[in-house]
Amino acid sequence: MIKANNIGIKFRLHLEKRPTLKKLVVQGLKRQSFKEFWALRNVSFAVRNGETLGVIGLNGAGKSTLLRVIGGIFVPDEGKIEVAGRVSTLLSLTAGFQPELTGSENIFLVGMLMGFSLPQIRKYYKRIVEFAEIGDFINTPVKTYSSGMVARLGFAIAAHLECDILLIDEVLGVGDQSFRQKSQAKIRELLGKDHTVVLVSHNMEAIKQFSTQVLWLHRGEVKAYGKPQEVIEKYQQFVMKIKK
Amino acid sequence: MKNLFQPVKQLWNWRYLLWFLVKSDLKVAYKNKFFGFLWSILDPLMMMVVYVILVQYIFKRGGPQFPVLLFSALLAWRWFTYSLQQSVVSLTSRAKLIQAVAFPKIILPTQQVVTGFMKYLFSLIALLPMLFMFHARFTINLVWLPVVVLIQFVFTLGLSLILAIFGVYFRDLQNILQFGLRMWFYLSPGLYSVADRIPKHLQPIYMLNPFSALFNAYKNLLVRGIPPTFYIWITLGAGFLFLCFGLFLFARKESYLAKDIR
Repeated sequence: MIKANNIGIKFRLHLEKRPTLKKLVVQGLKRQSFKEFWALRNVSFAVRNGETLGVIGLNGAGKSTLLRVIGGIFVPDEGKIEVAGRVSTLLSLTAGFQPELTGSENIFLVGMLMGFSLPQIRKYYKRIVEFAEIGDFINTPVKTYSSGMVARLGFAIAAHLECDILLIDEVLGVGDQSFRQKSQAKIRELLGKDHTVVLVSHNMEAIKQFSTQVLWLHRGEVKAYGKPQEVIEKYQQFVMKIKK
Repeated sequence: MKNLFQPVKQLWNWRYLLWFLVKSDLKVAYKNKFFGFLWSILDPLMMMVVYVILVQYIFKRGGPQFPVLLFSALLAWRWFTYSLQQSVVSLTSRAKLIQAVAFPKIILPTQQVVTGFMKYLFSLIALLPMLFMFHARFTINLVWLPVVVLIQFVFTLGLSLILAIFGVYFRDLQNILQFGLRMWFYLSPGLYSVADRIPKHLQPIYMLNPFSALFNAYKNLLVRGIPPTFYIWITLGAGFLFLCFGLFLFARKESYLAKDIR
């Protein structure tokens, strides 16, 4: 279950780079010059267990920021968000990899970062290794992997550790043609299960197919929210208008 | 106060991840078991040799036990500098991770302090034969050693937490730290002894430097068999204050770190 009530995320766009102590000493504790920028504002929605929320919008609309708020990475500056259950992000787990460690060790590392215990990870370990198709490389450091292998391992971890809430960003599938098909099939399987899902995509067909409701974000605010058919239609008309 | 316990609770709840991270750090450091270990003691050993040549042969100072006194201080100092230098970049160097997964960020600097601590324990193995070589006095006072090590742990962790947070907001802190640590070492009785080199009336002030008490305690305990003086409790007090401030910073900044890291 996810319930967002008027959430807002504010960024400070510093006009200069990160401050230095030297500058602090020279200028004193003068207030820094920065511009405020709301990446999200007044966003409300509710997703019940088993439902899928599709999130659409142009680039820079705040879709990725929204996923990070749901994932607990950003804390809203305004409003409230309730997330019941463990959240898995099918997006950037590879960021947690430590190149010096082996693939096997990284499975445990990322699993623990997501809040799983060692026995829980052991339970899924074999399936993850099999799915990732990296064979004996699982016992060599990740720094020796090709980028495709890294992506496959990251996807396999995210897809197999059982979470209540799934956050899926755009790239439906990674790696080469055959693995992409396999990962897409896996996502479809997960979408079919009793998960709560937030799906961000530019692929309107996928959104239409899976979503029970759709949220259209535009410059950080909600432009439309409701039944997939209606929201997608409005969005497509809007995109057409822009193109002209 | 309730605020300060929040990060402590997080550390406890995530202790398995913390330990896993420390273990993988050590594994990478000691990948080749023998040479990894050798390398980790070779560095302070070489530093010691340089100082011994400088002090004993060029300046003709330091007593017969000078090398082992210096080494027992250098090992503790290495733990301290390692922890601080790693902690100051511990958050910024993992920016991608912090923006990808939600977990308590306080783990990252703590990991560095614990890893440094484990390396310190290993390096004590290299100290042991030196203690015999230079006829150190082993007495019952050695039971103080864990106490002194714990005090250094508190002090180091406190400073590391503070540096980790400040490192996010001031990008030149890393360079300033380098310089500050060097100054700090020369201001502490590692290379020399307080009784010989510091005028009597200045000693009470000099001993307020937490590392004056720590270096003295290590040298006295390990080599001379003398228990630490009461100054060590001042170090503990300072460490405790730093730790509280560090925890306070994490309690306050935790939810902003993902946004503020650039």
